Amino acid sequence: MKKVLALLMSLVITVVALSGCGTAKDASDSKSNAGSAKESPKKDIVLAGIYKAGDQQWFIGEGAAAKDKAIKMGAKDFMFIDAKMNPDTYLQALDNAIAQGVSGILVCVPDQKLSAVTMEKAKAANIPVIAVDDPLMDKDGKFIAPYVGIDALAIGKACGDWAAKYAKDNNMTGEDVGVLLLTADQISSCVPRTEGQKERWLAAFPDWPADRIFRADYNGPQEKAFDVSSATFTANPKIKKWVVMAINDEGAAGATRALEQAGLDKDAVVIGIGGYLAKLEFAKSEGSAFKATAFINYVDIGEYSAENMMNYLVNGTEIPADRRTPAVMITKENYKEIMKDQAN
Amino acid sequence: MPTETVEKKDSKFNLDIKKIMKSGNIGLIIAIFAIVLVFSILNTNYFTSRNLINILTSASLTGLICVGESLLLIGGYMDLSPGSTAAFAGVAAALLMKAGYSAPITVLIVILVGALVGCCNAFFITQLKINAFITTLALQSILRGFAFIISNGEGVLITNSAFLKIGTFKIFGVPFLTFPIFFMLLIFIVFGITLKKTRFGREIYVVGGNPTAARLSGISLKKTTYILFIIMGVLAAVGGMILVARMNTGQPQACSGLEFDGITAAILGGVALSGGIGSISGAFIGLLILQCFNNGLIMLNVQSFWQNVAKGTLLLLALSFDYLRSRRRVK
Repeated sequence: MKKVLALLMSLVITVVALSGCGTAKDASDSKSNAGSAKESPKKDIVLAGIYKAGDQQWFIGEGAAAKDKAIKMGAKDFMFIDAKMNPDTYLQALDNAIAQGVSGILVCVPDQKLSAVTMEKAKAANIPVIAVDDPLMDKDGKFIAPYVGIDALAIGKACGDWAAKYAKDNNMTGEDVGVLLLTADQISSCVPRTEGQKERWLAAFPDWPADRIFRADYNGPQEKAFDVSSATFTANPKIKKWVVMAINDEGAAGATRALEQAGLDKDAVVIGIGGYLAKLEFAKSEGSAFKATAFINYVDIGEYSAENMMNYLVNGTEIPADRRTPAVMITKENYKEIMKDQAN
Repeated sequence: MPTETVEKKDSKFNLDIKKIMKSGNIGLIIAIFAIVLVFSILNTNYFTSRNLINILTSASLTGLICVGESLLLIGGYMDLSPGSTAAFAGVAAALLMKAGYSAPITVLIVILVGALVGCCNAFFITQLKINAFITTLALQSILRGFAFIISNGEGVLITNSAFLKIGTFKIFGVPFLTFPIFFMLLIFIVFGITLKKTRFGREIYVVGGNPTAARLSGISLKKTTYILFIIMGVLAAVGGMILVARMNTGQPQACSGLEFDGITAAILGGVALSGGIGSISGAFIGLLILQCFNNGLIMLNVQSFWQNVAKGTLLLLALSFDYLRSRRRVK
């Protein structure tokens, strides 16, 4: 048994060593070509996409779209890497991608404080970087790499505007109406969503009392949103009608279930951000309090980031500095038309 | 005669009070009363039937995991895979029903999957002698990965009305006794009795407290290990199905960190990390402490960052009491 194990270990080590030799050789070839994009034959181009939460549907879809686009434009391969919301894991992934001699890197950093080190490593290896979803910034907030992503504040504002219009159209402005903002305060990219939602609500209702705006933090998962929403509804029995705005679809869905449990769903409106879970709610024949969501198309971000990178590597076309994907509010009535294939 | 009867009754009553006072749970009972009292004063809606339902509903999934982890901790093990098992089970259930399987068949298949996960854990621990922490950590990753693979990373809607009833059905029409709450309470009662009153329960204590003595006294460590991990796997799978019935969708990223909530509740309730010590009743009180505390912080609108500090402090206090209790036992 021990001899078999020793033999297996030797075999594994040999295979890894041979792969490493091959990789090192490819890396040195790539590095020598990195500065001359126009000279790189298309078949040698390998892109890496390092995403802060590669287990989330958003990044899975974005990565898949980037890969499809890159391959269609002639890239040899696209490496999809999950940084698991961990700065150490992210840095290791970055080092690994550089060591493997990738031609370009798309990054969504788990912490924007990693911006400087990302650019230092990429510049030292002469590898171009595009930031996706979360920009790479210096300490003054200035972008230090080309950016493709969502405008979180604008998306939040779109939700706030939609919620305010719905409230006005449905007579949800009385003393028994409360606003619940479901937040993820520990995720920096989600904070502007809540700020935008609140800003536009107060712009529509400048005299809205502060004691009828509630905040509950849930950090992302649906079941946590359910728990915090339930507690908030129970803590405020004088509120009979709820306007709930969440930073993602999971939050909106969790709040919807909590409203149903509390028997408050008929007079409530819930708005999310994303579209990927909202489409399931919209597909229900019986309807629900989850009325709208800000659809943000990860396919656009994935495709555009890969396209920009490939155009730069193949043709030397300068990468646009900043491109933001707008949010489109979708409802049960129009989600299929707007989401197209993604509605299935 | 009546005087003697009254005296006997009084002495029996006094004996029960003394028994409770001497038991390790008195501190927990005081703690939970204190938490409920403080939050009730700070928010008059805290101590209401509606909020009790909220607390028990929030506790329903964690409670199942807490029972499984308590049994394992007492038996000298730990399982880090329940959260991933629950997520995988939920997604699998949703996909099976989407493929046309009925609710009963789906439930049966997923329970078998949960048992299989437990078997896998037990196999690597008992046959290949891999540490339980490492084994279950690996399974955690594998199952989470499979949950994403089979669902393609997307949520899966459940439309089977019979299955969805699991999440909201009220037992005997009693408002607070929804199926998730009922099932959790039932599991606590069943395994509480099992641990305290059955031979198997006593064997768990011996295996966890002194594996050598257990082996010498003829207890099969392998069999006990398999049973404990299978129980955990099944509870996690059932918990996952109950969650998706409540949420209406199976999501591959659900239940992240669930095992740590279960372990925290068990430790709060007096289950020792070292093994061989603890009770299901204590774990239940630990679970209630955790849920009442979390719920209270939310109702008071405490900022999330301070909530993290409060929860961490509570866990440290629990571990400190555990240490002091273990020192007292040694003396």
